[in-house]
Amino acid sequence: MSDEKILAELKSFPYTSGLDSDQLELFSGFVELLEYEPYTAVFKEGDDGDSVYFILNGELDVSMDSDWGEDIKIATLTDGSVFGEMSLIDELPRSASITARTKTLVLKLNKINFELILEKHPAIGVILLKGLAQIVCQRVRESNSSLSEFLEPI
Amino acid sequence: MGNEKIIKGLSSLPFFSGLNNDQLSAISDHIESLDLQPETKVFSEGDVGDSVYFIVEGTLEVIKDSDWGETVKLTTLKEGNSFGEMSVIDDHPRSATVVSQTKAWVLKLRKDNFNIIVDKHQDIGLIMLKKIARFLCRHVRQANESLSDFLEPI
Repeated sequence: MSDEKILAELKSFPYTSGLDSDQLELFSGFVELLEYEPYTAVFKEGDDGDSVYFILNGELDVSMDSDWGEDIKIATLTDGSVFGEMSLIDELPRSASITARTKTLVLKLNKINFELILEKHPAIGVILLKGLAQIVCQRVRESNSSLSEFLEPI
Repeated sequence: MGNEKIIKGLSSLPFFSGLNNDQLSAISDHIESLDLQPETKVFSEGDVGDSVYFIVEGTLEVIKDSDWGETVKLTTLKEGNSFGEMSVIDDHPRSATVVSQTKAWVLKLRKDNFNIIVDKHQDIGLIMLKKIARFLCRHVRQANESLSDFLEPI
């Protein structure tokens, strides 16, 4: 896919919808396009990793290891979803495994390029960082609501 | 130039440790100081949230209604802690209730003022957004850790 095509994809991508055309063009120079075949792992729980991924096309499974070592599927991600943002933000190992289910096209933004954007283009950085914070907020709410079903009253 | 009492409070908080005196002074005009008596409700679960709070002195409790209508104590917050971060990032209602346990001195930053800081002082905005995003990631990781033990294998 050419840079123009990446740019065209980014224009319709929800996460980058706050950026204007010039900002999108700058941003597209910092991301990398990757294709995954079905049943290939993007990363595994516990891996070191510091990139965030944007799904242009395809389906991926999110799974976690239970305490007794089984792989438990917790969600499926599709076009327009973002994953991997937590390790980009806190530099801790991956909290879940991500495996392509279909042929999948993603954009990858690594930590070095993310920090470069924040440093060189703070106006874009603010929009990107707010977007990532919103995604993590959503994750907090989902986790809290699942967890509250299991909590015992005091 | 800045509010002395608020600057003093801000400089004691780990959340603002990345900011220098000029930056603290710049944001102090956008922050309110609250002196709470014991058992004062700061906000209730379900309220529309519009502020993040930082505890300079005192202890507060986070409580939540479970699915079967009982009150569950989630955690206790003390000096140096913050709460309500999510409301400056997205527009969902409060996910829990916060009540002071002791007398408390709390600094309050409203969402509109947070956005003014982020727009006017991008350098400060990026530092604060990163801190909030990191804090939220920690929440998700802790919640997921607990959740994975309840999940059934597929």
